[in-house]
Amino acid sequence: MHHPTGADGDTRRWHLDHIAWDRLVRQLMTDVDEVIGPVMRSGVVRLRRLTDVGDLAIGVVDAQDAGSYRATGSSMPTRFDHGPGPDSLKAIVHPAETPVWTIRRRDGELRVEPAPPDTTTRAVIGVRDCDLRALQVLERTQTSGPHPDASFAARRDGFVIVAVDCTRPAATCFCTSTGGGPAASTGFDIALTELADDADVHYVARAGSARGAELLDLVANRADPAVVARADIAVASAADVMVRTLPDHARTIVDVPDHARWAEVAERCLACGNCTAVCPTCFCTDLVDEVSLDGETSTRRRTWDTCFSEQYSALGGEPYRRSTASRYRQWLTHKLGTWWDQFDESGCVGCGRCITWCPVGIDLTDEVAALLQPEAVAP
Amino acid sequence: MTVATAPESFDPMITPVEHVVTDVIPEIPDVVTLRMVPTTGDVAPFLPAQVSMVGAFGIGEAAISISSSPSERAYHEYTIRHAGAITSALTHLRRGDRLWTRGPFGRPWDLHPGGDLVIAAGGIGVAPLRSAILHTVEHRDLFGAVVLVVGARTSHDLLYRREYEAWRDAGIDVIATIDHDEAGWSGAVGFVPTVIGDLEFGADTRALICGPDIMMRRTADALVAAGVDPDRIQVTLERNMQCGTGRCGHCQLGGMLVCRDGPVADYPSVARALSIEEW
Ligand code: SF4
Ligand code: FES
Repeated sequence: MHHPTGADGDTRRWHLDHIAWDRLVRQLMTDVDEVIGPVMRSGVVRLRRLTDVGDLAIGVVDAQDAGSYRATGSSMPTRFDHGPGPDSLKAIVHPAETPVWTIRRRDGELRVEPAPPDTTTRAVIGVRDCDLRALQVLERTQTSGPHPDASFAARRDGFVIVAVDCTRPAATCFCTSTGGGPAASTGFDIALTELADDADVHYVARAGSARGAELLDLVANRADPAVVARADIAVASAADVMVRTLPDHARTIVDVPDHARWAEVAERCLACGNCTAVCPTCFCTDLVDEVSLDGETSTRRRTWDTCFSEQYSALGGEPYRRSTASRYRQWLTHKLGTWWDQFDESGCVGCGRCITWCPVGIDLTDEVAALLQPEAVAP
Repeated sequence: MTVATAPESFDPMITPVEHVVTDVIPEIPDVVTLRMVPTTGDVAPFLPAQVSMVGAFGIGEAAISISSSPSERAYHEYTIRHAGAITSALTHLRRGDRLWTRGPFGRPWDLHPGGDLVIAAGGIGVAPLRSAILHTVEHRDLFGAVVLVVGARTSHDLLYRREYEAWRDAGIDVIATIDHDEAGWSGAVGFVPTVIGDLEFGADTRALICGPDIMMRRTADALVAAGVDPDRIQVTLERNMQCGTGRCGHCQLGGMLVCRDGPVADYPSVARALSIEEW
């Protein structure tokens, strides 16, 4: 059986009842500038800043499928018995909009004021393994080159991550076929397994960093072996329920740029870019300059962009990828194929968000399966 | 330009460097060359084919290659064609106007000494080649035969035509070709790949190609057919660029991030990508 461990094989386990849980969240609130966790907003589990321990979503389960998401109440006061919501760590560490600089013009001369780096420290509660891995994938795109994004690195360094093992993956999840999950594997300070007995929700915790271990020592006691064994079983059985898969050779879709399936999926795809917005690793951005009304100040912002937009590829005002088929193909071949050439790994972590949040229910696992089928030879 | 908060380590790809336009040289219709110098500090060193993000207040930025000689330390020149809104606004700048650059960056042409050189340019594609041409003009003894084939739609679209004489005087065989014959034209007629097909090349020939994707493919094919080693053929790629730092994704061409891995590429590594429609 799979035994999750903390950092460097740290086998210590802590046990948190609801009192210890509240203590942990309150401790985080004093330790960092912002504590972020899953809260209910308009019927959807979102990652939002908490102002109080009680803000966390409680007793929520969800049903996800291609193009559909429904969160409902359950009788158990669980906090993490749902799949991933639309938000990942991306929105926090690589925000949808960030200031870059302000340029002031005086008598024709320019004075540039770079935006100050973001030094806010943040704790994020309820991070799943897909998102832990996505953070590393995203980090590689933004900080591994010769011109790293200093704000990304600062935000990343300011994180305290409280991860959660998935015991009830969503129907759209396929992380195990992308080399991860359902247990939190990497890059966390604390990882929790949620256990529910009757009306009692409690946690078994392991530490992934010295800071995590200190926090746990402060708020909780060590767990006894019986409860640890139960936690391990709950996590191990979650892996077996995943129905969707991505084949190991998914990256070979780059070899079939003329496959008829690209045109076929383009008839359904709206080119809305929802999939890229919810994807925890889609990193593309645009630079937008805006001049103040008095004409003396120009402000540059960096905003999320999407390869589904016509302007994304435009050269001299002319789009290069004119067809939706070529844009869907760019997205999927990059995510699964050419990401390897660029960053030496896949861009997909199997969170399934693009499947759930696609308004027309396009499922990349289906598309990949079809693309890997040889085409019928025309008579 | 003054930087309000000095970053610990200055990165010219992230913090813009203010320049002033010292000359605007009209070229062919819709094309001008901007000569510029930094308002403080030295002119940045660069290698042929390297580009900068060139930006102006209220206009935005575009990736443009430096077209002056790499040995020219008094200024940089950027030849800009009025295409989209940004380049169009850049072509309207005047002497004394301030602008900025982030750069230079990118993989340059491989101009190792020795062997013959064939340089093929289609249309405005001669601009990213001009610094390489000027380099060979200045170091003519480092190369064997040097042939430059420049193609344009009409004789009025031949960029840098007034410089041909100096290039020829330096020992470069300049062949200008236009798509259709014109009254008074005594040069070649036809597309660049066709003209290339009529030439002969030694085994140690190195080729530099810049032009529209289709022109680069056809020219490379013609060179290979004429016996040039495909591994010695280089092309330079143009894609939408925003960041120039390998982080925004816009400049992808298959497995390449053109701002990080290009703009110069060995032809065999991009031949397939260039042959796929809308790749
Ligand atoms: S695949 Fe779905 S979510 Fe993505 S752009 Fe197309 S319609 Fe939108
Ligand atoms: S221009 Fe942004 S990644 Fe190349």
